[in-house]
Amino acid sequence: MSHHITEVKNLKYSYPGGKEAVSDISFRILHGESVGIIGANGAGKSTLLLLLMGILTPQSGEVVIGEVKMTKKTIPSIRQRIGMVFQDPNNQLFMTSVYDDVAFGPRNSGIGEDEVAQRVAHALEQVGIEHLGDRAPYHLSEGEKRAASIATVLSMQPDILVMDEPTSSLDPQSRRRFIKLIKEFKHTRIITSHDLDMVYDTCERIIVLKDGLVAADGAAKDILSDEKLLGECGLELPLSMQGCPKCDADI
Amino acid sequence: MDDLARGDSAVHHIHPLMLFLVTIAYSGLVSSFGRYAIVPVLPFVLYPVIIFAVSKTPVKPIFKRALIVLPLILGIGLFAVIFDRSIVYFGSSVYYGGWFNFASLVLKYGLIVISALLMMSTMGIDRLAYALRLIRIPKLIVLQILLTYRYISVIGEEIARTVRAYKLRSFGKKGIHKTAWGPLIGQIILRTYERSQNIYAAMLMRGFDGNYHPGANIRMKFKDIAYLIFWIAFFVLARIFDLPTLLGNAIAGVL
Repeated sequence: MSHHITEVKNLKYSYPGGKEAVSDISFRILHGESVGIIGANGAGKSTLLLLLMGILTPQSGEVVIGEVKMTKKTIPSIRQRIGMVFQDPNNQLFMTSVYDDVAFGPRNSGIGEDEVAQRVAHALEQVGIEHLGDRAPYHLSEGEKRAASIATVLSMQPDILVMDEPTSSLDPQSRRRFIKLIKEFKHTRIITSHDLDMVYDTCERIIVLKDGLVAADGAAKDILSDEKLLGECGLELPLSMQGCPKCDADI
Repeated sequence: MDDLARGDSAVHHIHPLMLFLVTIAYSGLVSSFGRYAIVPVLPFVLYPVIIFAVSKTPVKPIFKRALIVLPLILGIGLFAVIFDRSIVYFGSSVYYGGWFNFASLVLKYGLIVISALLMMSTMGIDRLAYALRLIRIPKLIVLQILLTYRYISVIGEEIARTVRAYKLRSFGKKGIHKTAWGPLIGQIILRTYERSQNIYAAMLMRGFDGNYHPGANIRMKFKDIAYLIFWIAFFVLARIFDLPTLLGNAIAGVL
């Protein structure tokens, strides 16, 4: 399954103002892995995702998806294999109905309208919003918008799902539904978030970024229980690992 | 408007190209009337009335949006009142031409705006784009129209957010102080620019290559052509003949 491998080699990127957001990042993600990328604000998470999607071009280093190195020529084919869910679903929903938004990607890939309809129906069903197809996206709740934005990506049948802060602005129940949904996917998943409990629930591997570098890369249970490491990187233990304040007080 | 466009009436099922051509013909013929024409324009009121009734489009949202351009029409009309000093004979009476000119302008352009809004509320922006591509309007222009339509709501949201943030810290003062206008507009432009870049990035991620794909081709049927022929024939007749006067004379003759 080498065609689903995501590899980043010595990636470096500075913004036009001179700020170095990504200094030297390398990692390799295998097919079907679920990887959480965490770090404090300004650690380079969002820039890394933009580099991974070819929206930004690195000053040095390379991104390889499968066996294909990302270049201007290969970007369109690579983007068909990676689906990115944006932090703000409003950026992702720009058509007049949820159906058209979910159909936008498949239509661009040039497949027939019958298959587009099948893919849209399947994607909406996967995220449980088949009843919202005719609704205007701006009339949806935040949870529904998030589900719709995931459907827009699923309809493209990507090999790799990339999600930027997927649980931000979700209420607790929508967040719980989202976690359940993500766990059901068999895709390679790359999730950046500050919601460490969600990351712990959905990812088996964690990459910690600090000042544009990889500070740690390992199993979720090891990294997310390492209070010292998390503290050094501007993070805290997930709430689920912090113990119960009431019980601790009783002891 | 997008919600209205998802209606299920007979008008909603007419081919978008026919809806577009009928609206263009209507607008062209209504605006072609002379500057004092009022009575001959009246048969053209039938078109929006019938479309409202058949498409079951609610009147209120359409008139509400038409009101947005009303100040512009009234402004132009007032210029006519000020500058048009001619005399108009109506029957045996003599009137000041400026007011006739004003009434004719408001009637004609009011009807045109309502017909355009009805078109949008019965076919939506996507089907309009489809119709424009069918008549070979360059894809770049069609895309511009589509993206402008999308970004209107984006700009609206950014303005609302920025103004809300200002008001929360302006301690109940009315309006926005003139010293804040510059920074506020700058902020709105920058934030809108950033937002539009994000939306464009999202479009690129999903394979957007500058071509807009509206979905399945919509097949032209006999009823679509009949719809076009019926309305064009009616508009041309109403434009050539002064139907209200003819009808009035006929009734007067019978009596």
